[in-house]
Amino acid sequence: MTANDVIERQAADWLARKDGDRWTPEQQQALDDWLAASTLHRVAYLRLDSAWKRADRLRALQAAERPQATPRAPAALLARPWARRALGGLALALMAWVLAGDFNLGKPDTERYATAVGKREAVALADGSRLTLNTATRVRTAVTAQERRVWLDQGEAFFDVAHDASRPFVVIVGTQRVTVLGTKFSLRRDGERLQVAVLEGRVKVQSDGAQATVLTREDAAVADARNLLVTKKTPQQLQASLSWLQGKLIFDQISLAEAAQQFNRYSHRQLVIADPAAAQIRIGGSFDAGNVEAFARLLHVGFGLEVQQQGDEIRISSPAS
Amino acid sequence: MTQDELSAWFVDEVLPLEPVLERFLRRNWRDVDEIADLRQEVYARVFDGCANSRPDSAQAFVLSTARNLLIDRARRAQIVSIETYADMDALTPTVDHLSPERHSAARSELRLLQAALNLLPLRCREVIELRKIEGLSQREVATRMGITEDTVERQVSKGVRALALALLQTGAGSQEKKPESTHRSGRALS
Repeated sequence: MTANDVIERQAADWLARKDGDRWTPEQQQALDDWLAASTLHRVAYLRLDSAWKRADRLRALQAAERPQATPRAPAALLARPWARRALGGLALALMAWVLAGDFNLGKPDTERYATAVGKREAVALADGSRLTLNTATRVRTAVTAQERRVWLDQGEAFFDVAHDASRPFVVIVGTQRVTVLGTKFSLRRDGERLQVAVLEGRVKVQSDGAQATVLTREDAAVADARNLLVTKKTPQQLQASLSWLQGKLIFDQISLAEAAQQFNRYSHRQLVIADPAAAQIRIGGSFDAGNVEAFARLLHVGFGLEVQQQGDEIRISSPAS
Repeated sequence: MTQDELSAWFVDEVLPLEPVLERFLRRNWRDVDEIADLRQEVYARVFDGCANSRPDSAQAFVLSTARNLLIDRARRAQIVSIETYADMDALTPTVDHLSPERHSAARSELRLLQAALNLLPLRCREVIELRKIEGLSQREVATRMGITEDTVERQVSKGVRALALALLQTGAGSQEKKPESTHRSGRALS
């Protein structure tokens, strides 16, 4: 048995013990000590832990085989502390909104909500679920005693769905249905393309007539009528993709072309990248979504790009050499 | 960077490179039995080396770390022929363009997982399926199967190693580009 074999077995034993129901603070301490003892221990553990988490995807098989299966107690899926931190600010904003008395009880009719370009709005549904609408978004909601329905007609929204097994919560996005199994997630509609990011819990995504796919915590998916691609996100990436909840755009080395696309969702003033060389510049950092002018200034100062403003258009180009 | 951020970065950026790293090691090290040890040693060096700052390219960093490790080992072993040694020095890893995103085509990952499950011994497989597909806790699995929690724990320990091998090593990235031709003379610097 090689040295690695020994360490890997130990790491697997730790992981299995922690995965069980008899885990104690003392054991956690012992595990922490073991991890701190050697980086070889730590990387072996991280490697197995990452595989073990990815195996959560096997749950998709459950939905495929038996759609009627009773939902499991979601205790293990809920209550992630980092998620709560990420949403602290949002929760406060919503609380203020609820306290302001705009709470709407038990109306069966369809309600319509919309935000203008650059605006963001929190919406509380009669069942206690909360929606946050991002820029240029339109939704309709219908909450009855039997069912909760939301149509995402345009834009992007974050959902914090109140758990209620007796009333399914379904979001309809064009031809696709997203069935919620008690959770926090965001949806973005771009024509017929749907982007899903799951912060907590599980959601089921189904296109008309196609097989359903179940997404779990930290999954993100891009779906059109025919295809669905699921990727696993780190908590950091998820937070970046939900940064709009705080009015921020967080970029992790994306191209200037993509960054401009993001900014353009939030403002009538549109960024136009004039040449391919400029479009390929990599951008990272955290920016105010509503302040495209500041971003343009930064491009000028930081990258020496030419910035020309004409009406509602900001042209960015490589410096003339 | 905090320990958590470092770990997250490691899981997210470094682990997906395992097929690339594995190929690099196999191409440049003769003793197959030592590959797993070398791989973990590279991981440890990368983890420690990035404690304070992240490299621009995780892949370039991982491969140059692997290269340095192989050179260290070869020097220490002193049984390596001059030829191999010279060869090793010339060995400049070329970055191959495996996007971590490719690991994530859900259906192919699911297929990999299923294939990994099929290879497990029957009892181990049943435990993993109940735990991961049915979402039962270890205690519930024990009750359902009529075995002790200790046994369930042992099977999980065994199962997770097999899953890691299937997921990370063969990787869903099996369709990625071949990094370079397999002959070793290429001095083309990246």
